[in-house]
Amino acid sequence: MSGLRVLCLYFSKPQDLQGFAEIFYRATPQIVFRKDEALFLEISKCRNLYSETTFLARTQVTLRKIQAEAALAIADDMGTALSLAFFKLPYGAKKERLPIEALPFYVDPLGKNFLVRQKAFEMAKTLRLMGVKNIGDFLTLPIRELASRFSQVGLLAYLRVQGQTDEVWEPFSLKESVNETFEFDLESPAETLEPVYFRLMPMLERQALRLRARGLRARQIDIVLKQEHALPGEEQERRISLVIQLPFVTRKVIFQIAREKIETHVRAKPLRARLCEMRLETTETVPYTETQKNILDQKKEETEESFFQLVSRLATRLGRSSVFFAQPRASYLPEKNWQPVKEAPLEKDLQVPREQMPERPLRLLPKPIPLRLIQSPRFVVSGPDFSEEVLTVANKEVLFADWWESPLERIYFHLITKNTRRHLWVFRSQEGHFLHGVFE
Amino acid sequence: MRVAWVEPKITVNPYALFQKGVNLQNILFIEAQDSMNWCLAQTLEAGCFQAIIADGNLFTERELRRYQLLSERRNTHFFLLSQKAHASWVPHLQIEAKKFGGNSGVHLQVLRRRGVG
Repeated sequence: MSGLRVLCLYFSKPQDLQGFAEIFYRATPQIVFRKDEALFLEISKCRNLYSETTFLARTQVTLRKIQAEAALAIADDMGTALSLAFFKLPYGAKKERLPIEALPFYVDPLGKNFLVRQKAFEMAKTLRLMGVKNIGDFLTLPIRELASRFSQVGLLAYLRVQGQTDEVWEPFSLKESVNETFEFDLESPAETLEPVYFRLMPMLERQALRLRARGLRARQIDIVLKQEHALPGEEQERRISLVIQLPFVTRKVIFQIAREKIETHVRAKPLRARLCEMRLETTETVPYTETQKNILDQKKEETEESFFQLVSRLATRLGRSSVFFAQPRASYLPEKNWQPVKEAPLEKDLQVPREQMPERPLRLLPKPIPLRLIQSPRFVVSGPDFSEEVLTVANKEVLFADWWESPLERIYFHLITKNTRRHLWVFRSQEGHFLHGVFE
Repeated sequence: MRVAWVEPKITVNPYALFQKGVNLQNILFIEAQDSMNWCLAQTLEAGCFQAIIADGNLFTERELRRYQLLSERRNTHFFLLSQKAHASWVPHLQIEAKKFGGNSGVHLQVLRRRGVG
């Protein structure tokens, strides 16, 4: 065989292995699974990154995070790896120690051919009666005798145990969407939110690991709670959105934010029936980026984590567009001089020359307010809730909007009122006079 | 220095701040809508800002006192902006700012000082 090293994860309980396979996609793209029992990873290419012992340890940590249990084994082929995992032999154990009952795992490691497996099982029983107890004994048998007695299955078993052939590795493909589903026991659906919270953390971990394997992280997750009875439309499936605005937010923090949001949602609109299913749907992703943790300044790390947590919490409650940094933009129009951005602007984004524009007011109204200007007998400016005499008018500035906008031209003035000394930024257009900002 | 600017609807012009030399990398703008109290409480409790700036016209004495205690606990400077001076006992320092000489100068007058060295 060509120097393959195969890690087998054998699960004692049936699992949806597509999700597990996607978690380990980060380590290797060569993955196959045996029904809902076992996962095989080809890890020979990882040798330069991890030793086998390290890889086993990391796999154990990953399984603990997602609350899954599996027996692990590494060998040169699928059959041996599966057998070592199934019979729980320690790392480094030789295949000769495997009991003869391991033969079905060699002839059909992927569990695709029941008849062949059944014949191998019968063969193992017969060999056991003949005093062949383990694979080591099996290897001492002459191949001609095996072929004549057990025909194709015997020959196949022998060649597989020798390591001369193996199953074909079919290409593995990722699912398009990264969703996690948990169905509560139909006989006892969830009556309170506690079972939901209990399941939520490992589901968040799995989802994050699956995305991580694709080089992504979730920016928005929808938690869907399905109620058991037939209810109209939106009632049946309650959808709660979480926004994770900034990176580097830990799963623990996401869980806390999710919990708060679920509680708020259910308090405002109580559930009408028990829950039979919960789902996590990834609705938006962004590329995964890593930074170096500052281990010399723990306080700074804690403050940063607190900041990311706060921003995610605010964005989840208020909406993504309500929490932002501002980045200046080169534009003549005052309302387009800056744009909201999700992360703090970089140094290079702040290189827009400040002196290029005349001074802009500190307060800019989102929508200009119509004004009336009366010039005789006194120069008075009137708005919806004020009317004042104007002291000075200065700093005339003509701005042109984009060609598709109307009005195209605005002539700006800086007005100072006589009594209150307010500094108003007013413009005149085809449609009249408007208050656009206040200098403070 | 990290700053949070909290308003029900953001009316401050970040470009004007940028023109005055403020580093926009350090300011997080929060449009609180109807959740002003909740936002300020969360922002103060997070303890990750050196200063928080909010509109000063919206709070009762009790709320102001709560924010004062939170800001003292988290060592955060809390600035309330308003058009008119308020006769509240809560703020440590009340300052009136007026422009003079066109746009070139600002005159600051301390109206109240409590427990500040």
